[in-house]
Amino acid sequence: MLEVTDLHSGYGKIEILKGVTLKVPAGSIATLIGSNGAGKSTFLMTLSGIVRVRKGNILFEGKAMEKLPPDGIVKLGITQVPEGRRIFPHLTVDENLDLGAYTRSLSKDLKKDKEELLDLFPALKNRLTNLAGNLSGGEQQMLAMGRALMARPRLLLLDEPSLGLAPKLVELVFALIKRINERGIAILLVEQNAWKALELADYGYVIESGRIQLEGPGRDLLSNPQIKEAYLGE
Amino acid sequence: MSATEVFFQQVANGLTIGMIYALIALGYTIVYGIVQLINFAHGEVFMVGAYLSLLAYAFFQGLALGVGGPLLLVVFVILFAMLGTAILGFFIERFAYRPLRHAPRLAPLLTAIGVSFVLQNAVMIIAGPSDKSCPSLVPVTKYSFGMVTVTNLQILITLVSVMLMAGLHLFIKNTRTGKAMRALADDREAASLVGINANTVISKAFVIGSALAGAGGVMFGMYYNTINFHDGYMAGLKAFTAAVFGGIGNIPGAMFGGVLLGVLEGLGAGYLASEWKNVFAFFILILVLLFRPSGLFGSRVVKKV
Repeated sequence: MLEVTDLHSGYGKIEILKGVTLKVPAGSIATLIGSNGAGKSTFLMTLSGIVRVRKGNILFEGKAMEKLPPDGIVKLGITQVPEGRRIFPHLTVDENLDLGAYTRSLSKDLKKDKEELLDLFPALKNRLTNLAGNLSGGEQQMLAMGRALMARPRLLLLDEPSLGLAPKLVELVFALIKRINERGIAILLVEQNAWKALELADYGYVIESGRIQLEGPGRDLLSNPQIKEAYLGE
Repeated sequence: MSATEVFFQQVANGLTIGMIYALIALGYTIVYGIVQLINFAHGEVFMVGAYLSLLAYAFFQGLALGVGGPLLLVVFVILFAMLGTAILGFFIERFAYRPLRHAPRLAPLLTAIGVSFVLQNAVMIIAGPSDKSCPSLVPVTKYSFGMVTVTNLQILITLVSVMLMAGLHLFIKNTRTGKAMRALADDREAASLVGINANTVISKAFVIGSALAGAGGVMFGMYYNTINFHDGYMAGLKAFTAAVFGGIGNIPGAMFGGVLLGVLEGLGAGYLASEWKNVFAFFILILVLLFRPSGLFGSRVVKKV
């Protein structure tokens, strides 16, 4: 579904991604783990069209998308839940969800979609008229995920969804990711919580200094001694 | 006139011009809220609006008066000027600011001043350097309410302004584009991630702001019965003051700031001397910047993290 080949990108004179090759098969969960500054967020921002591709190819369902603008990528079926949630704080929860469906505002299924979504995130149900900025961290994470789902993506990019959340909420977020995936949406998950991410994912990639250093099925990586030492703290 | 009479009369006069300041201030504040750019050419767009009203008057006078009378003429002229300034705003954004979207902030600011000179001089060349007299469009009648005398023109200006502002409020609050504008003001990158095309929305913000300034320009001409190519400069600075007064980036703030500035200026003119009214306006700007730099209503720059 998503095939990235030899991807290079960066900011200004600094090249951050130095040739990333990665695949996310349809309906699967892939995870990208790595330390701070390894290029995880830059990778997702490049996929979303916020950071420009300098070299390499990105194919989504066979279509080249490395030159598409961010809105074109959303229309293609890829949305992102960015690091730090980045919900619109001065807009209501309901408005945030509406904007998630911005590219398909004319669609008639929006109401139904929103109802389905609220079944998935019941915490948001009676907060629809609240300003998003007044939500708790956990609720904001739900909202950010809900907003990204309103575009009906076929691939969801998640950047550190568990960051800054209490352990109980971390469990919830991972359970939700699994449920979203069960609806047929492929997931690319970027996480510092490598243990949980690898447990959940079908396939994992380890990124170091802008390059993929290691890859394999999630379970295999969990038992890999190199990974254990560097990312799982054993 | 007693001091109380002066007070109420000046409040009434100040309200009228305050409405016009508010209409212009909205353009500054909408654009600033979304792209953090002070569009210093905005005053000139207002001035062009006043000149377009002369053109529209020449075109539609016979037709509108024949069909429906002076009110229809007012509607025609205002819509024509709004359409013209909206198109002007679109081109200003497209060619002067968009190429500089990722340039350092000083570059578009200097460009704005350049655009302002271009518009002033273009109008001077086309329409001539001397004052043009503007028709009131409606026969002016005076009404006395106790201590205050107001004209039907003042009432009309107030009504049209309130309608335009209410329309803008509903637009920003309820429409898809309005929500996208607020989203961009909150977090431009996150707005891109949900699929909002920032350029399109920014363009619409310029179009809307310019149309409001155009309507303000028409009513300025109706009220003062004169327009000159450099009139946009002072009106623009005043409206900018009003926007800062209310908290730049804040839409209700710009409406309130404009009206309040008009009233304070009117009072200054009434109690001191009318030559002092500009001094008064900028004295307020200095006070606001010194003691409440984020404006009366605060700005939206500070976000909850």
